[in-house]
Amino acid sequence: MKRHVRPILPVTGALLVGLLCLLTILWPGFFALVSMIDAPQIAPDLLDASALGRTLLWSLSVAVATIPIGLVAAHCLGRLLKSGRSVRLAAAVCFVPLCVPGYAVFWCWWQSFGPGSAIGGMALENGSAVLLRQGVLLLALVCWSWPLLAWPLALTRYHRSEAFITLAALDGATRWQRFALRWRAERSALLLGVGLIVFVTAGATISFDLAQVVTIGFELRALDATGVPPGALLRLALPSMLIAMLGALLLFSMVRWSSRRWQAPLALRAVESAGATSRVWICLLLLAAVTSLLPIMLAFGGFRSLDPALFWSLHAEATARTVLAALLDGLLAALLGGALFVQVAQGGTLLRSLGVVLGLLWIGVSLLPSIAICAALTAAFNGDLLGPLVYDSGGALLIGHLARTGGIAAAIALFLAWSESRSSSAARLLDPPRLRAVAPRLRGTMLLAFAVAAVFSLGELVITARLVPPGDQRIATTLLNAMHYQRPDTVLFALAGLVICGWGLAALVAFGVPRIARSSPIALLLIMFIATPGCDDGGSSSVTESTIPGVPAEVMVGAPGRGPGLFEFPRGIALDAERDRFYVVDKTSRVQRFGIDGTFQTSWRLPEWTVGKPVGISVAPDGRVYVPDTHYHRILVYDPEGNELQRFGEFGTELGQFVYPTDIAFAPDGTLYIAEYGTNDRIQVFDPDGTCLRSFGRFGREDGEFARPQSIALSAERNELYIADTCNHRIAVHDLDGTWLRSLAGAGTDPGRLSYPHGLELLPDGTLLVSETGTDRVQRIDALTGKSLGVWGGAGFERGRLRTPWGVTSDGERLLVLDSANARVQIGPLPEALTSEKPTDAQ
Amino acid sequence: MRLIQTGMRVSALASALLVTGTGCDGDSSSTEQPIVVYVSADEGIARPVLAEFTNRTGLEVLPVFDTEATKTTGLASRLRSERERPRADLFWSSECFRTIQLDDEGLLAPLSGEVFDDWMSGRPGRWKADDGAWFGFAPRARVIVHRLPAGFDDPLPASWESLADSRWAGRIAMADPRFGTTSGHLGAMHAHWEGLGTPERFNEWVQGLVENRPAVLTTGNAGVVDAVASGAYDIGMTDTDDVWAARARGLDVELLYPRTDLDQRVGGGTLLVPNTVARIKGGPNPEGAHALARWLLSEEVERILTASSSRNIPLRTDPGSLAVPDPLDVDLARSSALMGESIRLFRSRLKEQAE
Repeated sequence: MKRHVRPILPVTGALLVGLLCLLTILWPGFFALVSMIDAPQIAPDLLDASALGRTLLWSLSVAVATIPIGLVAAHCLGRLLKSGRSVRLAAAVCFVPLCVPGYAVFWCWWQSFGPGSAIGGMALENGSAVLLRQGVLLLALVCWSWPLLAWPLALTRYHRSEAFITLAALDGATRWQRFALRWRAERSALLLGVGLIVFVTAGATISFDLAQVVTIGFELRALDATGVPPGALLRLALPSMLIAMLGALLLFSMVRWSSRRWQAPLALRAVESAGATSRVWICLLLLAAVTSLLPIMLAFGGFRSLDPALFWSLHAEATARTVLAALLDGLLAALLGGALFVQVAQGGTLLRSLGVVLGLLWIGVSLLPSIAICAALTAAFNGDLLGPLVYDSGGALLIGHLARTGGIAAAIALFLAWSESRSSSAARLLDPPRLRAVAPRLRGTMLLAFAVAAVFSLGELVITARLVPPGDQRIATTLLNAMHYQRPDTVLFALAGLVICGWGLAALVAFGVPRIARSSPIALLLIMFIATPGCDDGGSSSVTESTIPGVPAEVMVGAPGRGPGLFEFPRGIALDAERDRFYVVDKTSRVQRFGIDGTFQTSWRLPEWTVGKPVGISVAPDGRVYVPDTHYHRILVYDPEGNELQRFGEFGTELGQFVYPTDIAFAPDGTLYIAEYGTNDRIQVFDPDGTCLRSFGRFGREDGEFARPQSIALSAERNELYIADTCNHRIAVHDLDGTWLRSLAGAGTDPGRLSYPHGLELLPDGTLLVSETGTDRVQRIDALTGKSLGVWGGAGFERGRLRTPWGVTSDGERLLVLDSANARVQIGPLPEALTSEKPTDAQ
Repeated sequence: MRLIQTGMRVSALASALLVTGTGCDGDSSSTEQPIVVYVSADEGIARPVLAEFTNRTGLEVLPVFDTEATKTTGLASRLRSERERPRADLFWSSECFRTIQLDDEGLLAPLSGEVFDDWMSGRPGRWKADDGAWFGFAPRARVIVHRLPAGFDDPLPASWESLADSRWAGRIAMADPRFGTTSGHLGAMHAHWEGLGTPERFNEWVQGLVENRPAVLTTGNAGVVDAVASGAYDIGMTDTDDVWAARARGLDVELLYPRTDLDQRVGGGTLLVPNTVARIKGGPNPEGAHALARWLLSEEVERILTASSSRNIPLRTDPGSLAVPDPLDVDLARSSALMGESIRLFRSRLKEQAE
């Protein structure tokens, strides 16, 4: 009976491939052809014809430059494969470089080697900046693409060539003869890897854009931007499409050629299977780390102002949608790969031939310019009938991604199916095909297709940006925009997110999916549903922006600008309550003095500012103004008119030296308590003459340690110091000798919790005012228990709303909030604490 | 049997993923239809503006943002491709030239109501379509960015015409003129000189500029500022918002407001490029489009954009330090119409120069 049922497998596969092909290629292709026929003639000089040649030349150069590193990686991988252990782990490691999009790798390397670096400076002086940029592009693309060469080579070595070489060595072959043997055995895989890199690199158009290299992808997008109709665009893209098809044929023949050499491992494998040594593992891990993690670490090595909570609050939904979309893309690619595999490996002559043609077509389509794919899909799926179902729901985007990644799935499927059909052709004569017989390779096809497609989907940009449904967000778009607008914290987290997503996907494929899916796919889905934030749009915080009252703001002082009374991201505020005036220091390194009513009085600029600007300012009881000149590692003391009276401190970690001083508190006897971060993260105690007496604290998360002590306040009555321990999201309380007493609050957004407390003020009633940049609010807390006594502000541009408030100050009657990102100070009456309960004095 | 089980599992995964991947949209089936707006302004600036609108009105807004860095989206192109079945209700563009092109192509529909009538009467805006299809607000200026070394003796270029002077050879950076405001800038210069009856000056200027071998960058106006800040080029053609953003992240660059030509005639000064808001013809939610357009044209949004990192120039309040000395008096519609021809001229001259 079973034998009658068996042909259903290849037929089912063929139907599935046909359906996907219809949706992804034939239907859009029909519309593309129609639009090309109807399109008006466009002058060909609008397109820079040399861009096509330049693109191919660059892609080929990248592929050739990747060969040495690919050979090393293939050697390591091959030996691990032969050992039969940790194969999946090795596969996961080799996915790491592909997880970070090529354009992001370029951006990271460019931060290290660009104009701001020593090398970049030299290149500028020598007039070789362009050469440097192109060199960095080459480096980045090599770092990104080497796994594509390493895997085919490693598989060939595992299955064939290494055994050949060993046998030849046993036969006494010379080194040259062994080299020739190796070349003959591995050249097909080498060419396959080179071909893959050429075509994947040619599609990595954003990397080239960032490196100022004009590619055919850029040219087509430029034409699209000038309003050229889609049909005309497709017609102008014809040469590149033809080259893509020729390339597909070439790749196709390489796949065919390679598969012939990929047969069942020789028996010699057992002799050699001791291969997986720790040395090989170290080499492979180093390779992956240097090519993918090192550029990120170099780019962000000195960057300390990280705000993961803020990133997550802004981009959680985008991250979740990106991951889900990648899973879905991977799943579709896996279905395509699996179906094509079954069709070619187990079908009759007709089905096999059809499968090969469809596979070839798919490879060709995936090599087309993205903008051409977008134009065809929009024409095909944004009609009245299919629009609501496919275009509006994101289905067109899904199909677009499948068009891009389906070629890889098809290549994998054909490669494995041909090798399967060759190895089992003899057995086929005796026994018709059975699913169980091909199950391992079918699973391999699907898993590989899933992983590769999902990883590419994570960083895909051109199609995503063009077809994403309104309201949807993807992390790759966020990443590119953050790179454009130089928001390094966002770039770092987005990159980290992509790496983690990529690893997660690889690990899922390597270890998890088969097991979880086998046991309970529903459980997997439940996990996905639970892990999807953003759908309910409710947020977990019990205090949302709309429920927080604004800060009282009767007077608004300042606006963006460099003139008198204007600010560029002010970061320090100090109130001189005795004299009814306050001081603000901003990122122009200017100190400005205002009357308490907001009238501008005077200003002066610090002596130097190119290295960095101050992040704090304090007023001594006698009216002198102390400016921690943060990036010059010193304290500057001025009279109220801006005449410098004193300066002390220098860079270093010894007593009396600073790394980045932030704020100063004054004891009644004239003793100064100065906070600093950077390397020291401590409080230093100085006598009134500027002589350092002692210090306490160090960097860390434990009690008594600090992570960026940003503000400091002193209570002589209680003999206590309050320190805004910003990156630990708490207020640390020490006695004046430095002994740790307690910590208030802790990370969170609920009342009584803190998110990046930057500003701190001790009120006359003994309560504390804290401004939090993580939640854009001001909170009043009990200095003993940390209990919240009120929350004001909330993110926004409106009067009373705040954006990144770095500072807060008060004399017990008036409240002054430094609304940094809005470039203003909001002044109003100090609001009453929400509870009548007054704090208990600590003494 | 095994095959069927496997198939069922895969189907379960696929269908559930489909639901998961697109299910969030399903939650939006509130009583009000969401407003779909395509936004080419900086996402970081536009998102809070839209959020504030939702806070106040309770109307859900679904934005699609441009990825300005490499112009991957081409929202105008997307609007064209969706012409048969528009998805967007409103187009908030950070410039005016492509909006005008869309209007010329018949993709826009007039906005009507008190706010828009005020605008039509010239109070407070000066930029609008004759039929009310688009309105301009909170402009940026087209400027020269420079970071000339200390002790630099040469006079800075006082006008765009000065860039054709041979002393700037090899020292100028500009964005690809097929994208963004650079294309509109060429069109505006062309239109300006055409309006003065001296269109040949544009040809001469392009020839002079091209002979100075400007670096045409693929990374847009922000890339121009970066290139100048890095010292690779001495001056660059860019927009004010890119200079302000660069300054905000600590780059030491200066800007100057060049006149368009060397004549001192009033109205021959610096080109201003307004944001524009336009309703899409056939958009699914015209009422929502009107509501959101009213909000975008409000004084409050103008204040927000002025206070933002892009420092747009306010029309209804004192611009203070953002004031532009002598805005260029030019017909924006004509500028938009001449854009294609101007780009072609520039590229052909560039090609000849390269050969």
